[in-house]
Amino acid sequence: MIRLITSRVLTTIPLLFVVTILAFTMVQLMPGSIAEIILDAGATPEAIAALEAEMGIDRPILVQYFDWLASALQGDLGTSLFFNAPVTELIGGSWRVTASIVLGGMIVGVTLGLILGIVAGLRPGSLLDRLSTIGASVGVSLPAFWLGMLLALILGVRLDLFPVIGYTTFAESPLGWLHSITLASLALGIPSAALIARQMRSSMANVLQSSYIRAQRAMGLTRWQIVANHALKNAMIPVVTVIGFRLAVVVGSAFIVETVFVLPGLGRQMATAVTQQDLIYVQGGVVVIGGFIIFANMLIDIIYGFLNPKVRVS
Amino acid sequence: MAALSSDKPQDQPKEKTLSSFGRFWQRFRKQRLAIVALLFLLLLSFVSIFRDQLMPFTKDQADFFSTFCQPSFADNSDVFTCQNPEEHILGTDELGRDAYSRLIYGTRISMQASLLGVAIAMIVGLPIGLLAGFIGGRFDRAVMWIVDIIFSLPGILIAFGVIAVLGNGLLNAMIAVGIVLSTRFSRLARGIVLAEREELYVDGARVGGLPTRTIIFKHILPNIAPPLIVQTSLLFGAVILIEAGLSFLGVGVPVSEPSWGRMLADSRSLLSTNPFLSIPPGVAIALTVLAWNVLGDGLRDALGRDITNNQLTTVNSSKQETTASKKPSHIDSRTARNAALILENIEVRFPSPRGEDVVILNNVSYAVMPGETLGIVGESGSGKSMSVMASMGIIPSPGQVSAGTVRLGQKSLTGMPESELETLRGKEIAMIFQEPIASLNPALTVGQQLIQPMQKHLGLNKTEAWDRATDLLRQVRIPEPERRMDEYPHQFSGGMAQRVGIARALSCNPSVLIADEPTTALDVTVQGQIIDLLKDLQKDLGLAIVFITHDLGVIAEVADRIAVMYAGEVIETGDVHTVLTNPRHPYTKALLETLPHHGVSGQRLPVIEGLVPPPTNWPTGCRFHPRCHFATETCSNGADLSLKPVQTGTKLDDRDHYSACIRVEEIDFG
Repeated sequence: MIRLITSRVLTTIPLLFVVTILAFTMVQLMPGSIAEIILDAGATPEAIAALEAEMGIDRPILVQYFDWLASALQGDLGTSLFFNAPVTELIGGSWRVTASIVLGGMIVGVTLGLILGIVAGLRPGSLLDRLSTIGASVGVSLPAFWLGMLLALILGVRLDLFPVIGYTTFAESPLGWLHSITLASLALGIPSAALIARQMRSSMANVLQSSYIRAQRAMGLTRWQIVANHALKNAMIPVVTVIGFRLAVVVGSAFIVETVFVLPGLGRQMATAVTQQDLIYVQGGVVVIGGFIIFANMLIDIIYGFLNPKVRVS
Repeated sequence: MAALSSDKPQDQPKEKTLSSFGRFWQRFRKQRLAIVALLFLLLLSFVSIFRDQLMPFTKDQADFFSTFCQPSFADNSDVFTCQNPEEHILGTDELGRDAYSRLIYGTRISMQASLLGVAIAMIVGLPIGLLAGFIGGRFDRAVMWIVDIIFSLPGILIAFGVIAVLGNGLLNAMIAVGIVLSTRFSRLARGIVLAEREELYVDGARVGGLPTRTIIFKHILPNIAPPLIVQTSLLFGAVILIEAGLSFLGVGVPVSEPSWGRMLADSRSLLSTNPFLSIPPGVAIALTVLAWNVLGDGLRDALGRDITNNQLTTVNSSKQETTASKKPSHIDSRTARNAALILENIEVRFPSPRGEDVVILNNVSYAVMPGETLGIVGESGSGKSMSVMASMGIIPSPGQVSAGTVRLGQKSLTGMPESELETLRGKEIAMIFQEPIASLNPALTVGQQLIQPMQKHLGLNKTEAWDRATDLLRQVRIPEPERRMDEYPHQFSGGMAQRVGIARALSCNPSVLIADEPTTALDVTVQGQIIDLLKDLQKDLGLAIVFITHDLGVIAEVADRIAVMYAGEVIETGDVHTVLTNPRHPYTKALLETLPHHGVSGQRLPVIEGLVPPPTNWPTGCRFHPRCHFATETCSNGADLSLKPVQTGTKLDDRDHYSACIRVEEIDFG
């Protein structure tokens, strides 16, 4: 197990490098220079050159990269062109909102998805299975942000159960926090649940066809003993991978869902920065979010190895 | 290789793709939902082509006398700003723009965007994956490493990056989406190239030539087509979702263009005043994505396999003691009284897709005495395994034992409730399997899976069970049993895994052991060891063993008595020596002739011509007659095909020898 963890941590480090390179290259690919964007259209070439020299972007590209990387590692991701504030500070103020609804969405998605998938997979072809399969097909097709709007309309506007707008921090009021992220979490969680349920169903159904299940049955174990002790762990193996991929999708959807519920999160900042071509902010965002995803994938990989002895013991 | 590809394979693939397309179409046609989805998508294409003719208003045409209209079927009387509700089927927004017209306008944007996105994804992704697969080695690893990183990041994040650089606009947004989704095509293409290379390598090695790239290409295209079609269909849905999300944020499609995502964003601020505006664009997105997904699933099902049966569900035998069981079997009453396991007149049916049942086993009877080994032989498809599954009550659903009785010692298992059967399985009757490693749970250590049945059947606690399991491993001659207890099945060789299987089967002291081709998957030396082990254990424990095999050489070594099965029936049975030296059924005789030492050197090894017919297509009369050299016209009629005692008067024949052949006394078997 320790060997598995070390090897996963070691393979993660180069991945983080790739993300920083992608983020850095992104700014270099932009036609023109940052200095031209900062200065007005009428700026003289001399003024542009002077600003470029001041910002250090006239130096060789590798020097720039390592310089940028060194500051990034110290928590300095530059100053946003549009918001006119340090990127680290901006992200520091908004990431908790996004993290809250991503966490909520994953909890809803994984619990609901696993339960539905297991129940359906145990009896493929049954009425319950067919109902949940239809539900899952519809669920994966729903745009999370539209689902969010429908939830806001029904549970928020009509029934007045949850706030439709705004965010309460956990420190202010834990209950208020839960209240403010519930609708967004449901909007993110339901399509994820549908996908996870689908995967779990087919995985469970496949495992139940396998020879070792028949062997356990021939040894007289009961249905529940077989499902709980033998089928579940094996069926989870491919589902863990799907949950890992799903996390990235939920993070992406969270950016959009934030807009629906007017939550002051990373996504809204990102969208504004993108439309304003605020490359410095976008660059910082890519590094932070990309880094988070890669770190999360590392954890998923470790869980996968924990479930699958073929990966762990070899 | 050149000679090989010049004759047969030239025209063969053509025929194959045609028939496989035919099969695909037959299966696809049955998927009514997928057909509906396809029609819906065709309708959307029609709408986007004839958009301008179908829009009653232009996209920006403001009707200031009809703002905030509800749809025309709702009550608009209290909306004082809405003067002409009947002109606006789906209502209007705050400027009086017609929601229906804008929805139609958005259809083309969605269709265009998804076509563009998928096309870019394919153009970027496929060559990368194909190249990585072809070139292989370090190049492959480096490329796929990058592809996997991009694949793992949120698509929107990458799209943000690309749009931030390229600027807003539908084309830029779709380039972004195309890049994000291209990784799926890369992974797919690479996987198929690698799988195909592997296969060709094996084939190539066999004929002694090396496959050229052109040959690989010939093989790649037909193989990549089915998964590619499925993936493409699913990607269309994904692109529409991402495009809608980007438009909703105002990234990508210009804000002035009413795409479906943009319409939703606009309706967000009107959620409390005119909530209906948010419904049509959302439904449009969801339905379109659903249609692509359903179409993709339908294609996959039409191209893939079925998962609706499993090992846990069985249909309880309800119609026991039917007419068939009242017929006497060939087993005499003394044997029947003392047998450890006896099957009498067992019939097993499976419902067929066409409605009527298919009878898989017909009137099967056999018995095994304590301390004795009964060998069951026959080609694959003869029903050997099905008969032992019937004896344990583990016939996979939807099959069921529809007639006959199974008795284990003095207990009748027929009609016994599942909960009671569970207390007997493993404890009174246990089984070892053909594929030793596959019959062990890959996720648990050997020890973890050995102790569970003992805890249940013998009431041992965990430590006691663990100690007994270790002893059992020692008993089946596994070296270092303490260490092996903590290892996983994949760390065992086939032979060692089969010993674990035997230890598991014997762990709760059963009186009957069923061995379903236990040595077939093992190599010859290991085969011998396993057989010796089973014989020794039988001597020590007084086990009754039912040993299934298609190998007559093995049967001669292990069995005391033998039952020969063909097409779901027992056709000859008796003492093993008698039957093997003096067979009294043409099928048994033919089986014996296929043994290598019967062949004269320089001649072809004899085989039984033809195949065992499938249960849906069993011949009338004697089921072997189409392949039988001795068949006469009477053989195809409904003559008496029950097992009859063999009376040839020679000393070799003991009273237990039975044959189902109606010409048993006319044929010269010598």
